[in-house]
Amino acid sequence: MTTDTLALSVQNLSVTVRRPGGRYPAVRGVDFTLARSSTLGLVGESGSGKSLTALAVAGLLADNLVPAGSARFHGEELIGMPEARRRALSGSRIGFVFQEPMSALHPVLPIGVQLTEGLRAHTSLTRAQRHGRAQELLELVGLTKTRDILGNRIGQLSGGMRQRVMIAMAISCEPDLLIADEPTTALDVTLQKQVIELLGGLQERLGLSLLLITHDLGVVAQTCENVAVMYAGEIVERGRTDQIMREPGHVYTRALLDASPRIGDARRRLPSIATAAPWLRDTRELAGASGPAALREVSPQHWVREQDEREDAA
Amino acid sequence: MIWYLFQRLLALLPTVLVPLVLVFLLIRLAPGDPASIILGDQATQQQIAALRHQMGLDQSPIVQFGRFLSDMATLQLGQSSFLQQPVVDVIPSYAAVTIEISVLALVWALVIGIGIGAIAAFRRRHPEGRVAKALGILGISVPNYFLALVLIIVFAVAVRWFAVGGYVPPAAGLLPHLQSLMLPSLALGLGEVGFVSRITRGSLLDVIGEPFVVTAKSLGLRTSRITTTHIARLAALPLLTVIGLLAASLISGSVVIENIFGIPGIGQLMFNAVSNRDYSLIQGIVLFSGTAIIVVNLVVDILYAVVDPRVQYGAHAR
Repeated sequence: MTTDTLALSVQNLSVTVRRPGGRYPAVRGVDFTLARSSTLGLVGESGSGKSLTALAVAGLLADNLVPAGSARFHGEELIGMPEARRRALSGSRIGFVFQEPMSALHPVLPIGVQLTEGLRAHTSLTRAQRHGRAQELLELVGLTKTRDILGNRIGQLSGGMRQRVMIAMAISCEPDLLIADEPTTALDVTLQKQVIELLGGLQERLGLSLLLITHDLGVVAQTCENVAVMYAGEIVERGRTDQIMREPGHVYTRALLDASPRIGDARRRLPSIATAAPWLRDTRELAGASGPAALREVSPQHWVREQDEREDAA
Repeated sequence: MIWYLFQRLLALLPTVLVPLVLVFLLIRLAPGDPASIILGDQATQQQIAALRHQMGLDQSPIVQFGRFLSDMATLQLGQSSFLQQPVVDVIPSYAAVTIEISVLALVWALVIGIGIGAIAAFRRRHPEGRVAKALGILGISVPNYFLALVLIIVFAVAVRWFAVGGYVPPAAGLLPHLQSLMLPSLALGLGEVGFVSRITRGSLLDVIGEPFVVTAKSLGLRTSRITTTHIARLAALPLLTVIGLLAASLISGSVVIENIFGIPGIGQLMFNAVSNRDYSLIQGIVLFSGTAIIVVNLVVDILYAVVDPRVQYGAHAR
């Protein structure tokens, strides 16, 4: 696969937490690629580093989080990119959907203002044109009464509408890459399904490359061609979604799969994952000696991390 | 909005009553009989009895309070014993001067305080941010009368840009007029800079950490745009409350400042009224000051609802 066909190519990406007490690696040696107009699910528990990976790619890490390594967007290096260039890409070619629209959207500014901020920054559209475009965007994400919504504030909308508005905002400038960080976690099951279908539909219609961050393998199975499984700041397995769902190679992936509810299996008590995510302070010691373990290609395009005594012991 | 206004006005009624009750009690609790104090040492028993009857002091407290309230409501504030004029006629010209100084002081306090507070918040990891934070703490600790003396020593004695004191009415020219208000308003306003900058810093830090700021960044917005549109809108809310609080502290601060600079405002009038035991005048000034503070706070409440429409819907319906 050459670099021209890749929307995103991440190599040896790490994120370090700087605290007064020292530095802690939160993400280590992460490698993955996302082909143009394709979909990749980044899966793991809370604390696995999947959101930090996404934020590092989007350049949205907080000041005390330091990224290193490489993340190329259509061949252009994102890590350490100058502020002005980053601003030009953010919102226009890279869109970001956050988990909690209620807090990710401004509580007081009308939806119409927030939805057109990206257009205002990145296009030469007039105020009236932006307003018209905002209405189109709301229709695109399946909302009606768009004129009313533009005058509303986020608190006046229902949960599902909020996430649709969030998505409309992220795609307002027709980005090439859409990063969605747990876009359905704050929603109830029915709405989850609708939002996932919306994202899948938009991805196909607009030819987006979609990086979907989630803890839910079921969501990945529905939406993503490829998947990367993260555990304790590292990728432990990646490959084609159908293949990994069929033959999970890593013990942690198997545990995740077992912990996913299946239809027709309602009576079964879901197992909890025995290999609990380690504390951040422990990962420093884990990483210390050897660094991230290498991934081995067990079958074409299916990579699994070498099993070591860490998992066996857990 | 109309309903919200109505609610706010209704809530103000008891607030107006509090200073009125205080004034009523103040005069009656002062040692000695008001009538004999007003008339002085030379008064005869008959004169005192006549005045007591005229003032209604021979009636029950409830009746006295009712009469007092109706007098206040109809602005029958009586005669100033020391200026020999009706109180209603005395207050406006003095009030105008104090209002002018207070507004100027408010501008100083907000402009300088918000500036320092913003530097302290946005540059908090840089030396200038730390200096700004320290200035804010210093500002809270320095009283305005001390500042007044420092300003006089520096700007009136050392460099002679302004007069040491005194007041030039606007009729004598706008520039000399403003010049005469410069140091008093600065002293009054700088005294509040510490408070304003602390509140600004705190509310900015609260808002800067909000997730919607990250969202704005993810849209590729300029920092200036994020600051002015997304952050300022919310960070302004606590500052509005501050304006309401400042109204009270500027009016009380004016007593000291106007006496230091010899400015004929409400503060100086109050000082003279108290020194001369001019009860009617004291009563009138307290009524004016209380009303002024309440009006400012009503305006703040209205502005609050304009800046953050969520306020109108009450705390429960977000």
